Amino acid sequence: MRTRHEMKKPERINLIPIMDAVFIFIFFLLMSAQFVNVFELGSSVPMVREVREDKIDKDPLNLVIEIHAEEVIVKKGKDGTRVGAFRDEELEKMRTVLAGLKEKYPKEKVAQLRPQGKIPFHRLVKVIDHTKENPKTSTKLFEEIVFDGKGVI
Amino acid sequence: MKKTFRRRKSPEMVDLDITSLLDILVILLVFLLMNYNASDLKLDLVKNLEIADSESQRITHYAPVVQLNGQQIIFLDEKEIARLPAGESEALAQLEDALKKRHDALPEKEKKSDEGALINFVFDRETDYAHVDKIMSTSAKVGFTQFKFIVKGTH
Repeated sequence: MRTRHEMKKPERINLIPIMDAVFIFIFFLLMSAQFVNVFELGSSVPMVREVREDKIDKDPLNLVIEIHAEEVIVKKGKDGTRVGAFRDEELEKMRTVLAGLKEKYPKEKVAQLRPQGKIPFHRLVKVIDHTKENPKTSTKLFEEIVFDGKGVI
Repeated sequence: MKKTFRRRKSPEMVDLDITSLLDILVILLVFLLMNYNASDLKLDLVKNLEIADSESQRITHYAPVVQLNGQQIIFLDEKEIARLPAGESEALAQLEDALKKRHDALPEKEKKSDEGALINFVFDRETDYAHVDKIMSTSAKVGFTQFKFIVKGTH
């Protein structure tokens, strides 16, 4: 016996609830949008704390970064041995030197900053960027930036 | 005369083509999702302030915001406090008072934290470090010792 097959009409998808949801989502995103990408750079003031005598490091890194008008000077150790001086265009080189120091002292996280009073803020940020981490290799260098409590040099 | 009644045609459902509208919505959605910032800090910059660029990718956190614009005017949470070069010590004393009030209003847990309370700084990119140092010292005196500099992402 032959049966007659009826051609089924393709059913249309009801898009209204999806569009409602998308509209709500867009409004939520528009309300919380921030069109200037702002981020934070952390630092702090030096803290004083008591350390047991047997736990005091005999050869601490004591990394100090002095920011002068023309160059950035990196010093280390108790006596402030000069590691190097870098001009603004050589900050990548400074980052490499700091990465070398980090390899030698993997537990050290603190870098002390001593900027001159006339240093503009954007230069200070640039030096902090080059001290904290290496974004190319995603390696952390000296994450804890501490400002010298002695004020400006 | 015999009246003739014409049967009214029932209005036909108009078929709207919403494909292009959906395309726009999807593009807008992707754009907004790419620019979404999960930070809980709502930052309104004051006039004459250009933020410094940075490689940092750390999300900002809610805390009092001190801003210093290009004209050296200090703002605390968008409220003008004082102008630095006019009378430096007087301006810093006014900032200290305002910060003290803000610190008193903090929850107990934050006030008694060993690391100190959190504070956000927005400095104009050309601000001298001498001014930055004075504002940081004033904040530290009150108990805000965890400094966060707000910077503009370059990526």
